[in-house]
Amino acid sequence: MPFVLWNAAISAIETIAITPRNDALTAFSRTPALLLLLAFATGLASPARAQSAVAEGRKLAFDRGKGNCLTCHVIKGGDLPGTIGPELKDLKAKYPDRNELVAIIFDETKRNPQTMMPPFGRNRILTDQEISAIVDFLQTL
Amino acid sequence: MKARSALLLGSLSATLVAFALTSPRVIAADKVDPVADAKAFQNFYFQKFPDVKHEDFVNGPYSMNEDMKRQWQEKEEFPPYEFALDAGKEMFATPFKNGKTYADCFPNGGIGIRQNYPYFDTKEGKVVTLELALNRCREANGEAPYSYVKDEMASLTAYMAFTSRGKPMDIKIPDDPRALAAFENGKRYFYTRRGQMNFSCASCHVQSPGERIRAEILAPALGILNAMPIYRSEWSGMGTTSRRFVTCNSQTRAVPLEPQADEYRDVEYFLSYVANGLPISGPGARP
Ligand code: HEC
Ligand code: HEC
Repeated sequence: MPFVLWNAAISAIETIAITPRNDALTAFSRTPALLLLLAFATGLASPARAQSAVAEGRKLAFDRGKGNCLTCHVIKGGDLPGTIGPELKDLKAKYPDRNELVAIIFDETKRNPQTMMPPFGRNRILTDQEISAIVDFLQTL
Repeated sequence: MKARSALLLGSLSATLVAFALTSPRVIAADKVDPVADAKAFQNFYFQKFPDVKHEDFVNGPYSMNEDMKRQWQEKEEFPPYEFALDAGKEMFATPFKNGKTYADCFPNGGIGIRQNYPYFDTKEGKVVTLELALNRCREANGEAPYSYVKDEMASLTAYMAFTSRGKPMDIKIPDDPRALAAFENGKRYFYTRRGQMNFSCASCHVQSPGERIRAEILAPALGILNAMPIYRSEWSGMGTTSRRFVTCNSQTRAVPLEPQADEYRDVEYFLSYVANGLPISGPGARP
């Protein structure tokens, strides 16, 4: 079984990684009021859009070139999961505030400097919108 | 997964990194203590995996999983690296155009010496790996160097490892500040996070050995080079130490170095030194 972690093109990666973190962006994504505004603006607040965000989030989480969360986590419906992280389930009960999940995906090294989980937001592996869709999906688990 | 041990381990590697990063600024050379480092490194694995026999750590992922180990032992009856071994033996015996052979370039005619590589060359002031020494031998005898990652280079190192099987890794750090610096630099490279995924070598091979990353079981860093070179089904062929380093970097979206770049030579020096005492098991076969 080939070990392909993230099979997107490997280009200018070191450059991306060392790009200083955009603090304005970080502050933005961590401010609930602004997030809510963003949610309204992008239409996530309506039920139909929420449905499609869940589907989109699932796709992003499973995509080897995007979240590739199965590399480390068991997730219902996903094949060949790794064992490095805990199974992702009952997350709504554990993290009732969705911003906590956003923060974990954005940069888990904030909570645990030694974590293996990649800082998906800080290192621009996923956009804020993609993270938001993944959180919608996580809340259904 | 065992969250607590992962955390513990995290703090161990954090300590090592912190140590690696602060030591040059404190009392320069006095702080670099490879003997203590190797002892701590080995004890870490011995304590984390009390059921694994010490000499088994050299078998990579197979040391971590009984089922896999059984399948592998069956496969060893007809080892997939045999073609490389045969080719390497023949290449080793075949004279260059000038009539000399590889045997003329190495101590003891190149037989049973794998455990002494890499070594620190006090004349050059750098680490010399077996792969590098083989290409230098070729060039000194008017032959073109081989690719570092596979084919001929893997065959030659497979043969040399095979003649050294069972011999304990025996890497020396001469009394030379440059040798200590090379060890320290290799250690720093090993523990430093890099690339878009923010992994260090230690994230996978110290923090998570035995865990599955997708379908693969992560090898422990202890003895991780003793089985080199390896046959991998995924490669449908052999790969050298250089190939594995480049692959691990690029598969985690970090920019790989050139094979035999100074930093790779130093990492090899560090990883080999901390495996001192564990037997050479190469060439190896992997799923
Ligand atoms: C390379 C490994 C790795 C990858 C890839 C990874 N994670 Fe994690 N994740 C972890 C680890 C390890 C933890 C445990 C907490 C820690 O280390 O701080 C964790 C924890 C979590 C948690 C908290 C779980 C809980 O029960 O508290 C969530 C939520 C999470 N990850 C979501 C994701 C999502 C979504 C993705 C993909 C976009 C992802 N992870 C990708 C390793 C990974
Ligand atoms: C995100 C995970 C990851 C990172 C980071 C990583 N590796 Fe690996 N490594 C693997 C996987 C998966 C394999 C294949 C399975 C195995 O043998 O561990 C492997 C195999 C190896 C092997 C061969 C082990 C064997 O017995 O087959 C060596 C040597 C190695 N890695 C060295 C390194 C070095 C040096 C670095 C840092 C430059 C590094 N790795 C970084 C995942 C990783």
